[in-house]
Amino acid sequence: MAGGGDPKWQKDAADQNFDYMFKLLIIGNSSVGKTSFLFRYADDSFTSAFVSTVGIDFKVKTVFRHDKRVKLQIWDTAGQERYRTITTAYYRGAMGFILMYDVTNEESFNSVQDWVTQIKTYSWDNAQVILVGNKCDMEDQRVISFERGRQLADQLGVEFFETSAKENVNVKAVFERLVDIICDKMSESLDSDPTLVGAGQKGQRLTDQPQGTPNANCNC
Amino acid sequence: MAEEIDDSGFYRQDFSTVSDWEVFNAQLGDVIQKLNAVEIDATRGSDTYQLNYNVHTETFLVHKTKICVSFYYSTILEQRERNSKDDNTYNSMYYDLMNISRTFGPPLKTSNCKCLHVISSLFGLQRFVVIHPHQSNQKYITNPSELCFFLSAATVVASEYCTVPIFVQIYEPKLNIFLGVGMNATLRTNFDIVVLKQSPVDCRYLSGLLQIFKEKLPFSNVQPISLSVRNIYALETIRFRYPMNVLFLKRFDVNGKKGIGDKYKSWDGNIALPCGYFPDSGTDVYLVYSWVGISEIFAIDSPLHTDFVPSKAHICNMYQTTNVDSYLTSCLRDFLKLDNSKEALETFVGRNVTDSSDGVNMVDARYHLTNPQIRQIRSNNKLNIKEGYQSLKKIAGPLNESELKSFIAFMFPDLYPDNENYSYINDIAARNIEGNPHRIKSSPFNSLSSRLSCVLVTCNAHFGGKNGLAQLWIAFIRELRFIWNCRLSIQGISGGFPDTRTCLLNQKLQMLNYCIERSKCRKYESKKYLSDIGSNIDLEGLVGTNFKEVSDETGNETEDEFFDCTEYVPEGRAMRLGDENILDSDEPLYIPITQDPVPKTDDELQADSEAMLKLGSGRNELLKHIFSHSHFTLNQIGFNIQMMSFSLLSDMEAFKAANPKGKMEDFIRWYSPKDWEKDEFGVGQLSARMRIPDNTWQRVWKQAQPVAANKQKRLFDETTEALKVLSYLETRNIAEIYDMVIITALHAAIIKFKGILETEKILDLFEYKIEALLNDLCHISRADNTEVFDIQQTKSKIEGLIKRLEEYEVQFYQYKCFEQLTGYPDNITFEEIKCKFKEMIENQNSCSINNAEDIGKHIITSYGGELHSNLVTKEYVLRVRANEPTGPHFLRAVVTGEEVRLCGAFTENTTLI
Repeated sequence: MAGGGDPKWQKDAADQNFDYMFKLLIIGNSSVGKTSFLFRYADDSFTSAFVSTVGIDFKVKTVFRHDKRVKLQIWDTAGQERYRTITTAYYRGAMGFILMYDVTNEESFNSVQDWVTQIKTYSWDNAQVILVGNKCDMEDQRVISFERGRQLADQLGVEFFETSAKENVNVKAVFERLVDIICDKMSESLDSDPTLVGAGQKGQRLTDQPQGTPNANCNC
Repeated sequence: MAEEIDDSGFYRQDFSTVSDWEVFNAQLGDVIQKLNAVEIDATRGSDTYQLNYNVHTETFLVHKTKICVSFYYSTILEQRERNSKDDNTYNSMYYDLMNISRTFGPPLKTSNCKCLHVISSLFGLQRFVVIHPHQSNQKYITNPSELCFFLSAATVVASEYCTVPIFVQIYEPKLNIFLGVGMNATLRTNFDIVVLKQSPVDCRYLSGLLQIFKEKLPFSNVQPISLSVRNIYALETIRFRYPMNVLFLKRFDVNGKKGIGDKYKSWDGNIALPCGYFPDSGTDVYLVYSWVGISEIFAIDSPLHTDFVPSKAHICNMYQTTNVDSYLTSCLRDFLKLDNSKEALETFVGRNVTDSSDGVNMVDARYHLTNPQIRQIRSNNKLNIKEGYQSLKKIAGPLNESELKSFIAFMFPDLYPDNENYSYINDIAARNIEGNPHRIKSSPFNSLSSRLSCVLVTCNAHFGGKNGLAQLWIAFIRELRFIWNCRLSIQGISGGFPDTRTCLLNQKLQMLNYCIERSKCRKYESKKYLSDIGSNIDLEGLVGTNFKEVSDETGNETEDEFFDCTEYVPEGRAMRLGDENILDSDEPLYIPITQDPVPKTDDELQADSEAMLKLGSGRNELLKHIFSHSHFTLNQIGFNIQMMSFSLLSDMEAFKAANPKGKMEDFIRWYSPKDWEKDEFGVGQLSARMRIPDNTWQRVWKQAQPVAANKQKRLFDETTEALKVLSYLETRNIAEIYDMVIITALHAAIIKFKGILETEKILDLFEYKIEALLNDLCHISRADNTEVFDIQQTKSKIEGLIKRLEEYEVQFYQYKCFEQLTGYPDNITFEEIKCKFKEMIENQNSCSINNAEDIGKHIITSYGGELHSNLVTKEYVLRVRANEPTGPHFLRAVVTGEEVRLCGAFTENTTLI
């Protein structure tokens, strides 16, 4: 297969109610808004103050993509340095990462490179990454321009979004795009590995249908 | 024949007089029409012999026997553009017969050209139909009336659809005798094959063959005869001696002359897999000299004299066929068979062989630990410390004591320093990163886990199969127990936390090593170590235990200087936090010494996340439960959650111990500085989320007592964990051992082979193939084998990988033979030989040799004399390219010893008949 590690698409014996399962992780410095982002997506709720995550937490959401039920297992991590060892243990098997910084916080942006190194060290090499600059609603406190974020993403070779969990900007778009990228990668792997083609339901292409272009960059 | 009435009764019912022949005619016509539709794509001729033929077969019942009609056509579309104007008259049959470049097909039958039909190689045809008895038929077409039946039908159909020649196979299939007919609007070509078992001598030479050919030509022929000749010589089988060689096992070197094994040993990197080739391996070399498209008048070839000798040839091709088996591949194959052996180790070695049950207990361990001699021995590395401390109870199995010992000594060189020095290098972890750019999840290069894996594979192949493997495995664990009991630290395993980038086996050994290190540290840290060792931590009692009490008790014992002080004596300070002070105080703020995070191996991490998933999301909510209902048993909550909340609790307690006056605000300033917000006047306060009433952080803070890290209940109990590792290893069955070992073994095998190529400086010929192997292995190593589907896939991928490795190993063998053949290093440069060999492996084991070049000269001079007696086959092809009205004529003679096979295709003009 193209990029190391077979995608974790097996079904959970207890829950047959999906076609694929993707494990995703949200990482980034402390208080960039990871938990808020996850709650906005999973529960469509927002509170200005979520309790700071201790260690690691997760939520599950099932979405439809190309007529397939994709179960997302989204792990929310504590950003504090002290929790690195615990959280990096969960990188294993993750198929996608949402790497988040806070557009009002220079330090969180400067740490992005460190997080990328963490991903490279602990994850599978075909894990997909999206860079996200959160809190783009707080325009008056912004210190990282959209352009700087985009440049960094280009440099890292990943896609980029600015988001606001509070105003619900681009939250869904980030997850949808990440799911799409993972699906693409999976199809590529299937294409390059003839043993997988025709192996029944698991070998189906996920991207047979035309995809919407990612148009979701927020430039506010 | 045509008059015969089908007396089966079926056709009589309609009272018509349709004969079998007519029925077959109609059926054949239908099939040909159908097949013509299929081949519409193949409108271009191929100028070379392509090995890809497609076959369509239909089966009929004729005379109660099954008859097949098979349509063969080349799948390759060639560059030669067919002129569309010729469409009506074009018949690929004539083109193929006269095509000089299709004169000679592959000279040898190899697996690659199985699909090439003999008709194609005899007549050069790319499209043809064969009528032949079904495989299940024991009855062949032998009698003339049967032959006529089919051949006349073929003629009728061919004249009607006039596209491809139709052949009828007669006699036994292995004789390869066919008669055929090809039709055009005005021409009819008859194909005929005759085999002369004991031919007249003249027929074996051009002189006689020309005579035969000319007799068959029409008198009117004025066209010149074009001649092609091919001579195939077989050289003696070439062998490359490379006897089985296993690192550190002398036993195999006895027969092998010194040299080859030792040559590769130097760089071997201590990979204990066998290498070398079976003694009956060898390559056969054929030299094929050909003269293509020359005129008959320029060559003499008769029983008295021949011009067709190698030294006068224009073109020579060398072909290699192999019969090679390598020890490395076959040993991996043997190991692969274990993937489904569910037998427990006890089946092979019996019960009660492990130390866990035979009495080496903690008392002994303590004895070892306190015995200064052991430490000294360890540091001096001189004596065999095993003697006197451990009576080796014999483990049942096929390995004798000295074999077992040499295996064990190879894995634990520091414990058996008498033996040849296989000491581990120091920095295994760093070597692993540079030596494993593909990030294969296996064991670090030359680590203990890598040695163990290779030794197990070797043992399975050459030392008693599963029995030997089980025996060795148990012996290995016994050494580990000894090391653990003596707290010696395992050599050849990198320190620190289990590295989840490596395989599970390596992680387990790392875990054990970490436990030993921790255990050793603890001993030095605390005098109360010896009474503590072995006592299992009571996790159940953790919540709600009076930590203060523990703290006081130990404090009194160990920290005498503070004995008289009042409570909350600060302790466990690591360093100051910048130049920060505790809020509303002049006292400096200290970062406490904290407990180390808890190491985990892959399987434990997997279990943790599964446990979390089962509990459902919202762990923050769960934490509330933990702290409000202390009756919650920890097992119910899942260890991971305990770990996280307890690590927070532990850190807070350590903080309180180091900063007796510290507040939660101070803790947060150190622990989560982003949650300490300052306004424009520099007045700080906790962030909103930390101020949420009764949030987890506040609750845990309230719960926390000042207890320094070294006095806290341990988050990680090394004794329990170490014993868990040992028992995990002891309770594996054969298939589980296989799972832990296979990736490392494959990795080592590829690296070993790569090293051999490097030694020979021909890695560049194989580099991309080796890279591809390593890449694929990386994917296999990271596969998630949780479902039957995945497991099957992985197995077939591993099989594919081994097959490719074997192919390359065979090619290496071929290379060594090729070297011998070319007289390297005397007559040829290294670059030339590499270049030629590259051509060889990229071109289905054949390469062209020019007599003017060094290799060609060398072969002529060194083999020229004996070549004559090694002439296996001669082939002559005579052609007359006649245009209408007579059409082309073709004769091929294949001379093998006394036998001559004549294949003729002669054309007549049907309009004149």
